[in-house]
Amino acid sequence: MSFLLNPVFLLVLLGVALVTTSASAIGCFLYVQRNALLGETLAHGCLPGIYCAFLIGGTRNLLWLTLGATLSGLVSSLLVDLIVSKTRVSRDAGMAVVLSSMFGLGVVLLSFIQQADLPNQNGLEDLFFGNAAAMSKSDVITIATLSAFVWMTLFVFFRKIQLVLFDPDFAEIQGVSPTVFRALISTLAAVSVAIGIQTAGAILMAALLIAPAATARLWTNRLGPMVLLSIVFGLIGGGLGTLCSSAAPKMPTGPWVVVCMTGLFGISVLLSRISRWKARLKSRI
Amino acid sequence: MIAFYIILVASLVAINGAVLGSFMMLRRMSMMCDAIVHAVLPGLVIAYLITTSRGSIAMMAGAIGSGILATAIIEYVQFKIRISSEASIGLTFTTLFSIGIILLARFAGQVELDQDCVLFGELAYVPLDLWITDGGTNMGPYPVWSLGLLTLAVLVFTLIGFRPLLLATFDSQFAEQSGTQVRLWHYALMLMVSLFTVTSFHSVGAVMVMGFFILPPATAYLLSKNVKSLIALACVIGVACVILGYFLAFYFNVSIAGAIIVLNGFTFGITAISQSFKRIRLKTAS
Repeated sequence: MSFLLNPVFLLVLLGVALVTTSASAIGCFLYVQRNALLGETLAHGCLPGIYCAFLIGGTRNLLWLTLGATLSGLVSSLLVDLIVSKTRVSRDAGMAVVLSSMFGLGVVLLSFIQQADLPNQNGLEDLFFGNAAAMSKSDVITIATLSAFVWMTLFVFFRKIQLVLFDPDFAEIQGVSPTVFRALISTLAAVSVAIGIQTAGAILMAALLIAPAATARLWTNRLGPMVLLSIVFGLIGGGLGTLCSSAAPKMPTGPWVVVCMTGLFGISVLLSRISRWKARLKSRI
Repeated sequence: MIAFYIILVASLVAINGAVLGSFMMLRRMSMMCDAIVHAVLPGLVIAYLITTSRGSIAMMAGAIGSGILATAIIEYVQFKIRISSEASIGLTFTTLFSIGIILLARFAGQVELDQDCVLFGELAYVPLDLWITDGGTNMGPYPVWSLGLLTLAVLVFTLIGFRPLLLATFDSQFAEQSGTQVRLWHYALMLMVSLFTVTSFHSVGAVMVMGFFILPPATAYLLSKNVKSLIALACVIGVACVILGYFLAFYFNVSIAGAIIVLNGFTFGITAISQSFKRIRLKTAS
């Protein structure tokens, strides 16, 4: 177990923890909005932005790539809204259209970068499944700054976001614009997804937003405790997943984190079932 | 001949995807396509590890098994645990896909599938995947045959299932009262979708299959007024994008499947914009 004290491993663990906390916090708001699959759209939508940023800047600096990822994630979520409001395509088809086109664009750009043989392009293909082990110190600092920004914004505007989510009409009367705060939620989701791409991978990032939120929802009916619980579940799942993936060589991080988070969901379901049976037995006696 | 085979295989994928995708879109289950496309992976890997032969019946059975399992789990999570439908979709397919990827990473080297193949497919290598009989006759590439069989299956499925599926889609209560097995047809459609995914993913990649499913029907949906014309138009758009996309990819030297999907997305965008302009013009004219 000596690798537990290895500074590289601790750094990776810290990075994963930061990514999962912001993802699982924003995931609750998407879940309550019945918009949980937006994470999937954002994660696939990030790819073209990342590759464009790489093509323009020529560096693999995480802050720069995250900027590209956030922007193209936002463009995808705007496109989904535009398609739903302007055409007769339903919301789920709109999402599917945007995410598959963006993924296709990402693959085209990646194949273009690979055949152009640009310098320091190593690791760009890791973005699909995530490779947290490649995280450097400056990456962790970038992730920490951005996820702190996400937490602060959520903390400051928590009441207003809650109002907009549960009673948009009343919020409008109170002078809290639902449009602005919905856009804020999408932006924060895009930032959280963008910083997580390197860790969890574009394909599985959606699970980091959904699984902890769904697990927390089983335990509570209130938004505040749900967010806190979701962060706790996210941290446990993320930590366990990182441990599992670093125990064996060449294991991708994202899949293990997802499996651990779903494991927590399964345990929660079992526990809630058992407590329900107990309650039923008691009421019979 | 190389170009011909690639275009033929991609067109077959596009046609089958357009037909099945139209039904899925009308049933408002486009994101279920995304789920199944990811969820067939663990079944595929497990079947491969057991039989160690590629393109076998076992692999198809594995993929169909895990596709159907995913459908069942999603319904269970949604209705029994009362998690909202999109969250149950997101939770289920990411987990199944993760299990598949972990198995791939664990048994890397023993499995002929690798992560790149799962993601992007190898459309450019289709002409190399030849089927040579014991007598030594060259029968052409494997995928042409498997996709040809799939097209037949999809054709038969559509002919038999057209009316019951539409009935189940548009008025499920009436369908049930008039004796249509709504749930049976639902699972039959999921079975076809899994079958389609496993047959075509060697050629275009598991995640890219999604685009072949979704994009042509979505574009056709903007333009057509009834289901038959929707399916026909989706097939035409799909094949047109395959042919154009192949030459674009060839010209710019990029991923063929990717170029086809981008072109499909572009077609959807142009159609949507021109449709909304038309609507504005009609409004101002009236």
